[in-house]
Amino acid sequence: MSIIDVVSSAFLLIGAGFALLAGIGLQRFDDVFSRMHAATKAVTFGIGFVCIGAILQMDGGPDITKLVLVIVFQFATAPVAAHMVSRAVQRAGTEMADSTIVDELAQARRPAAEQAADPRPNQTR
Amino acid sequence: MKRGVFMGWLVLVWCLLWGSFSLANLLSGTALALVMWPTLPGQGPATSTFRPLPALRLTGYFLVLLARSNVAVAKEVVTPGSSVRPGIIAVPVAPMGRFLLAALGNMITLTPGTMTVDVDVDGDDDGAAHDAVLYVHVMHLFSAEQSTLDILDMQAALLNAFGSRGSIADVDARRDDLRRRIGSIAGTGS
Repeated sequence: MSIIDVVSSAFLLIGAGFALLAGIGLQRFDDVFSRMHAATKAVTFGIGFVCIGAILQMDGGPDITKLVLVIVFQFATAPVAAHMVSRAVQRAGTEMADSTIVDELAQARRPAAEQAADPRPNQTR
Repeated sequence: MKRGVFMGWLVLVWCLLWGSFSLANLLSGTALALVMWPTLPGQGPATSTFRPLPALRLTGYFLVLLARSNVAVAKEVVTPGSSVRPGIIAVPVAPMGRFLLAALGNMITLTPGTMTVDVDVDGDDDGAAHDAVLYVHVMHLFSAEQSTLDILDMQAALLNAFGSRGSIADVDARRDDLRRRIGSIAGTGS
């Protein structure tokens, strides 16, 4: 087993580990928003590691550029997907976790008349 | 001109997908890009500025944040109980073009404990810089001012690489203002 094999295996295992953590995070977190944190960051990182591990195993060839593209597009699109899901959730009025401290988006989206009657409570601290 | 940049990008992706920059790939890629020409966004990235050194610093800064972000999420997943204090804060950012705004939104989502939920932009999609408010979900919200400052620091790094001088001065002024406010809160001990 060469040193490349060791490094590549390490990358693959780390990537798989992050994917596993993301799965556990999805299960454990309280609301959609917190879950999206796990589902975007850890998965993107995990895919990056798995692809680098796979690239290290190849001796040149066209597949390397494809894997590079996979990494690039994963980084470009995962946040957009998270953004669309969380925005849809917010507009649908899904409740946030009980531990939520402040929601300035909901306050900004309240109708103007309601806002005038009840000036926005500042509860950040 | 800006469409030309997009076309170059399309040809590059095409060649990377095929795995070689052969003449046949370059020609067929260019032909396809020409067919798609009318559908390409004409305005494109609203930035003509590119400073290599700050761009390099931005990349390093981003990779460090990315690593920290994943360690933080991992820690949160494996620790029993919950230390989260989630909340959504409104972050008024310095005006910049749509392309940079989208880049900042993506960076926020990929870095520690923050995620872009929504965005309000004043004005039309005319390629010019407009005032914008980002709504950001924060996992560990202890001070809205501190979280806002973190995001503006990121915007400053981005603008240093791609932004106009005016927008850099704008974001720096906002950061100074926030630092003063954070300092005065700490000073009065509340």
